[in-house]
Amino acid sequence: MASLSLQHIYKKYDNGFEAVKDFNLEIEDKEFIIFVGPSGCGKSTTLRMIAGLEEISSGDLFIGEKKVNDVEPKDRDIAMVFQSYALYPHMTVYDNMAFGLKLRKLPKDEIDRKVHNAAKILDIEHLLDRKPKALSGGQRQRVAMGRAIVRNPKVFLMDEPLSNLDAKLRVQMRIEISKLHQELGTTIIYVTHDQTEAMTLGTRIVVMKEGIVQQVDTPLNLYNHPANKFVAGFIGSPQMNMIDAEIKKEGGKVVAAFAGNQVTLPEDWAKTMEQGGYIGKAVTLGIRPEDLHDDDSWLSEHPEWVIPAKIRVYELLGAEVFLYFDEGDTSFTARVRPNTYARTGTEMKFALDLEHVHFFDKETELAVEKKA
Amino acid sequence: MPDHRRLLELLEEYKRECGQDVFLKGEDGRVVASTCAPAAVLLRAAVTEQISSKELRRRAEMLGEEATGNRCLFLLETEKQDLSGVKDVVAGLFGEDEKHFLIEAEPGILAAAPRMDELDPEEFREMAEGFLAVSEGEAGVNVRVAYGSGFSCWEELPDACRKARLALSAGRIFYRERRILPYSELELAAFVVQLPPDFCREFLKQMPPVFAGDGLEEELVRTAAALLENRLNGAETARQLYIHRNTLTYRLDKIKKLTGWDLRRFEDAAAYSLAMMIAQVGKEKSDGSIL
Repeated sequence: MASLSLQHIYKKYDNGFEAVKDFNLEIEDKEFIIFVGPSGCGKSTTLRMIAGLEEISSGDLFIGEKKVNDVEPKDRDIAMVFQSYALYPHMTVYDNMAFGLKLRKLPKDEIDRKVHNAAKILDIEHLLDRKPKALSGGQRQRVAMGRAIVRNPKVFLMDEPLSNLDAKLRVQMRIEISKLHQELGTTIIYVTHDQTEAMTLGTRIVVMKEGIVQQVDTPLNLYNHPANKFVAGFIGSPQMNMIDAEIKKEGGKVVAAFAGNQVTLPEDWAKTMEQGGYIGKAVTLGIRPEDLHDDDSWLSEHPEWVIPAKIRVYELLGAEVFLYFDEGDTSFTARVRPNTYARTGTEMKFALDLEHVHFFDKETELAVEKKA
Repeated sequence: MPDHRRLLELLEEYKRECGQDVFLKGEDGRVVASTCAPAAVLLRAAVTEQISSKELRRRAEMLGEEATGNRCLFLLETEKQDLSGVKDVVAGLFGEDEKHFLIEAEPGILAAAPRMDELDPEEFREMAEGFLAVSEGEAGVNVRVAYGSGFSCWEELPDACRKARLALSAGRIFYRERRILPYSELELAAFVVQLPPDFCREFLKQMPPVFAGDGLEEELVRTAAALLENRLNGAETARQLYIHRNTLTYRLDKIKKLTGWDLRRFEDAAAYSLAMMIAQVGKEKSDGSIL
């Protein structure tokens, strides 16, 4: 069993800087947990505290039932694959993978068995006699993972292992890591700043900002029910459109007004805004690019949700088109089908799908919960 | 055949009495027995003494150590004073006949000079990453790895040491989060680190008053650092900091108001960068020397 429990973990440096604040998380055996957030958010520091490379300032860390705050890294039964971990350049692939086992004075035949097993899983048996210089980037990364796999640890810790690879290789290696997780059935804790990587790999994602956990949830829930404005803007590409709006009541209807436009809120949102005391107040309206619709059926069925637009930039990606336009001070991104008639300069209309809108409190930036 | 073990015991005894490593040379000038490998003695002298190239070459000739081959000097700094665990693990990367090119230079610092195929910065970087991997991944010890230039003879070693030490010092002050510290990427910082405290104080008197006081607030410092890291690219900086472009503009305007420097201009960004470094060094040196 390789569950982990992080309880009120803090990391404070001598100069007073708090890199991690009150981090709490229960990780189940075999989970693939992702720590994601912008640079400097504390995700790598948290991972290094789990590894034992950074001292925990306060709080408790358990691996399984055992409190490991003061346990040496080599005794924590973890293996690390970090971004900056190159292979040992003068050793063959075999020796690279065997190195840690030799240090632990394992018998030769056991080392040989473990190395070959790991190499088979990673499909690098044919590379065992080569030196790192003769390997491609993806092959090197597999050997780095092999170095960790032979240890047969309870937990793998991976700190941005793919960030040195080009985009195409990153996509391939993501699939490999995902397959590896299923094959090995081991707990993995993975750090990345790339939200696409986070969304595609993790069973659960921990979103961090400035040392504080913003939300812990499955990828789908994070996408559909972000807890605050930061999570909403961080998860999803292109980013969610964030609009400064005012909630008003006009003619018995509750509307969101922004940049000279007005859209009527659906009944459940209208009720939420009234009960929440948001009438007459400023809020942030969040809407994902795919929830802006340019097709005629949407425009005719929901005239109360329509806003005008003049397209500033048209980007064809093949399977979809991104359209960029401005309304007042707000820049919008819409994701539409490739057969759209829109081009740069086109004046047109969009219907906002307000069934999938998000609202965030202006002061707290927390998501406004829709009342049923 | 002479009893080599007994010979070494005698030499060790002599070492205890005179307090120095002892070398027994044959008529041909070659060292036949010693209490410490000559290469390790020379490496220690270069790393721990302010030894000149000429003196090091003289000692190398005296010890019969002529060629070094292509090597690079790495300094591995840890938070632990006891290096035995880390040294054993790092030694695993050296062949048996190369282990004397790994020494404990001083408490908390290992000096390693592995053989390289070529004097190639790419190779140095890979080796540094290898040291990092083995120290953290196998020994479980946090390290910083600093290195300077490669060397192919003993005369070049003192300069390689100097650069590695300066890279390490620069890392301690300016790049606390970086684990790999190549001198070639830190030359400006390494230069600033050597400035005398008096010069730093005088320089700061010419700078905007904010540098003499508590300095800029944390948020502005982070913003400026990100802008410099992203080569003055505003869009990238805003993305990295996860702020709106307008917020970035607001912060840069604030910095301009406080310092007089518009960091969107290269000259001002360079002056700001230098002033920040000198202010930092001045502060560190007033707390105690870090070199």
